[in-house]
Amino acid sequence: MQVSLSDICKTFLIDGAPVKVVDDISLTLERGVFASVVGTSGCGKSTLLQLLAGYYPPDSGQIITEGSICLLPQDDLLLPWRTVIDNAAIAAEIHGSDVADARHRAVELLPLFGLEGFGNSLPSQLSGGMRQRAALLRTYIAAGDFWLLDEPFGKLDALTREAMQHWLKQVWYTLGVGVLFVTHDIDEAVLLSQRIYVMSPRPGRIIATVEVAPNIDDVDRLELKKQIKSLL
Amino acid sequence: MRNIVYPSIGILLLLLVWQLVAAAVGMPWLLPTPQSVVTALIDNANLLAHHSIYTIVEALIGLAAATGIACLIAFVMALIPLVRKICYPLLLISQMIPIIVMAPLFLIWFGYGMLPKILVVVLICFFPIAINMIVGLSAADEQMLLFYKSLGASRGQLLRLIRLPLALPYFFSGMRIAAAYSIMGAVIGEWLGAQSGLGLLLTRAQRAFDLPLVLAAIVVIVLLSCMLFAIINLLEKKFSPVF
Ligand SMILES: Nc1ncnc2c1ncn2[C@@H]1O[C@H](COP(=O)(O)OP(=O)(O)O)[C@@H](O)[C@H]1O
Ligand SMILES: [Mg+2]
Repeated sequence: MQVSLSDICKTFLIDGAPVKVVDDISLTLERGVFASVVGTSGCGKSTLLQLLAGYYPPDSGQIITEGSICLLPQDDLLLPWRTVIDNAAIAAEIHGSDVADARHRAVELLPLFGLEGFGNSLPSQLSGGMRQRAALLRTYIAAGDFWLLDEPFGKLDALTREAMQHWLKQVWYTLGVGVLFVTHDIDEAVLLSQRIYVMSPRPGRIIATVEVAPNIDDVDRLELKKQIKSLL
Repeated sequence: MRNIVYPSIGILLLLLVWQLVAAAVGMPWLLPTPQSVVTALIDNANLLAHHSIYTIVEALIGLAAATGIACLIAFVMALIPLVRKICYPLLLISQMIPIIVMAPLFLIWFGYGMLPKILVVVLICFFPIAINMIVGLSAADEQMLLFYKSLGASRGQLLRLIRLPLALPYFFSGMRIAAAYSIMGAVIGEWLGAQSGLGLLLTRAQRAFDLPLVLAAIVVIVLLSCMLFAIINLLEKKFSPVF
């Protein structure tokens, strides 16, 4: 099962002038594979994910999606008047599918998502890390195949972020989903990913694809980070 | 508790100053003491109750009609940008016409019954509700709507799941203002010609130089307005989402 993009371009009008934000990007996501996109802020990473999520069509190029796909936006966009469970099950409500079943699945997944006992809490009662996990639960209930994660840990403090990185890696491994993880943090990308796409500043294009060996040692990892940094 | 304590201090201070000034002036037919107003309230309780009922009915019917009209206007204007552009100036103009000038016209057109009073209430009350609802229905940001649309939500679902819950607090702030004004609206309508109502009682008491009764009627108007305000607050607590 895979999602493939070929030759995707997107231009936005910024202050009346057309600006190419995504330039001729091709990549393939596979279920069970953790891939990252690193790039400086403003290079078009969010736009790339939003194209994949179907916010708007690309100007040119083709996106072929097998299976289900869902975005976790940069701001989690949880509905503040809905409980964790009600937020998690919202996709079922929208699709008109079995809401009771979706809620039941959400309840069963609470422990894996570190939200046990918080199913009936409102988002405002959760910590930053818990909010992200609740939003990820919503993503999983909406789509079991591919996750598009837009800087999910960007607003967390360093300690929470580290814990969340390890947690995400474990959840990804347990559920076997395909992930496209967007970040501007090279360390984070190298820690989590099997494959890293390096994106250039605007117009965003992919200037390198780096594979991270599963048994990489510390020396090689440092070397890899240096290599990516020099590209950016 | 504090919610009650501080406003009470303010009101008691006002009454105290009033009592002292009235006693110092010593002309109760010009400036009645709070005490004589209380006496007037008790002596005329039946009369005040009789006229209050008319005023309350006019205010409530007017408020209900205003709410319906305001919501309708707000929905159409918030959801159809073209209508919004065309109608927004008209909405503003409707509030620039002095009510005190419109009320006699209503009287000429619709007679001395309840209808012209209700129309004055509607004219005063629909505006704060409509304006707040338009802002509330437009409060959802673009990113939020795009995201839920990408989950497959239709326009109707976006309205029901996101825009309406977001608009409710705005709706209630509009309702609070409208409720507080509604009694006053009915009184203005009655002031210019009526068969019953607090506005009529006010004009009669004024012509008879019965100042304690005038002030007693004003106290009743204030109390009724506060009551409606409180009811809206209760409804908001019950129906508006907490977050
Ligand atoms: N809907 C839009 N309309 C116009 N310009 C946009 C829109 N979305 C993004 N942009 C612009 O595209 C550029 C890239 O944005 P984004 O994809 O959010 O970057 P990143 O996520 O890498 O920080 C920015 O300059 C931004 O202002
Ligand atoms: Mg971004």
